[in-house]
Amino acid sequence: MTQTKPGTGTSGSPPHERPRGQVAIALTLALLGFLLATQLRSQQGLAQRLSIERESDLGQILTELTDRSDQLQSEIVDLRVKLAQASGTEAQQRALIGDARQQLQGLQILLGLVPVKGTGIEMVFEDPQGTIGPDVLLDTVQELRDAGAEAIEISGVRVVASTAFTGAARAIAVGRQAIRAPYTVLVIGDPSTLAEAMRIPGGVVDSLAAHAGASVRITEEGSISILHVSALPEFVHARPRARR
Amino acid sequence: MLVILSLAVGVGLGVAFHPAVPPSWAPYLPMAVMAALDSVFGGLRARFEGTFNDRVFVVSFLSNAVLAALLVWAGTRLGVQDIAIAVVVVFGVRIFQNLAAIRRILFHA
Repeated sequence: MTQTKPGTGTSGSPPHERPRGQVAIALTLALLGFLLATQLRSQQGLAQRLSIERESDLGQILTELTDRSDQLQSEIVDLRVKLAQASGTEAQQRALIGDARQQLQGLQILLGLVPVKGTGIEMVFEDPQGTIGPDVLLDTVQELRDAGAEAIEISGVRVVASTAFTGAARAIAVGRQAIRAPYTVLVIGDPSTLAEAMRIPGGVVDSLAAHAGASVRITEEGSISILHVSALPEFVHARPRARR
Repeated sequence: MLVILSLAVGVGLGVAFHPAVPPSWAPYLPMAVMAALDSVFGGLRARFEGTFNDRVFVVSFLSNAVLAALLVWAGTRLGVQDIAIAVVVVFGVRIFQNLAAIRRILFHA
């Protein structure tokens, strides 16, 4: 404040101050900047502002804040609605993806594209005299499917929809691959249901009696792994057709 | 150059640390800032008039700021709540006077 009065300056007042004076001025100005920034910032804080405002101003501030609050409330409601809509569609999409994934998994198992494991039975057909023909294996597969078999493998060949049973006794081919006795059939499904289906009167076990020397051993397993996979068939003629 | 740089550093520090002002200090800080601004303009004027002294500048800067804050504090204690306005008016007038002097020196008008 004394700066405004003449005569308080040093004699002559050199154009450039001493280095120490420069530092002091710099520090002082930095302090001013700091104070300014702090004050400006604190003015943004409502709590500090309220403590220095007067009552009439406070009333106005309150009204403004109430208006703003109402505005923000309605905004919240709007945003909530939008959020609900968005998450709704998201849940729908997730469910669709889940369905599609499940369908894909089912189809992969059905087409024998992936290894599978689960409870099931293991059947071993002994055929020392070579009396078992492909028809026996085909019948077995039919019976197993009827009993709810979900995946079947015969002596290392995955049995799928397109698998054919050809050849003759001693030269059976499953899916164009020759197999030899003893024939091992791995089945995944409910073990007791499958085993029972094999043993019902007139079933696979019964009819095997007509084949000399042939026998079958059935064991129920808690965990069967079917590791062989089948190639994805190429469809040359069949094309999907629009439903009427 | 030094002036602008130091100011920028101070503002930068204030922005970077944004110290929370205790509510009990809230009425006094603006007074201190007003006093500090007054000192700075006074210093600027002295510089143009060739009477600038760094020691006087620093001391008046600090004492003005502290005294202004103390005055408001004392006024609040004494029940003179509006003393802040008196301080603001005084410093406002002084800042304008200093600015006028600076203007006269710079523009000869």
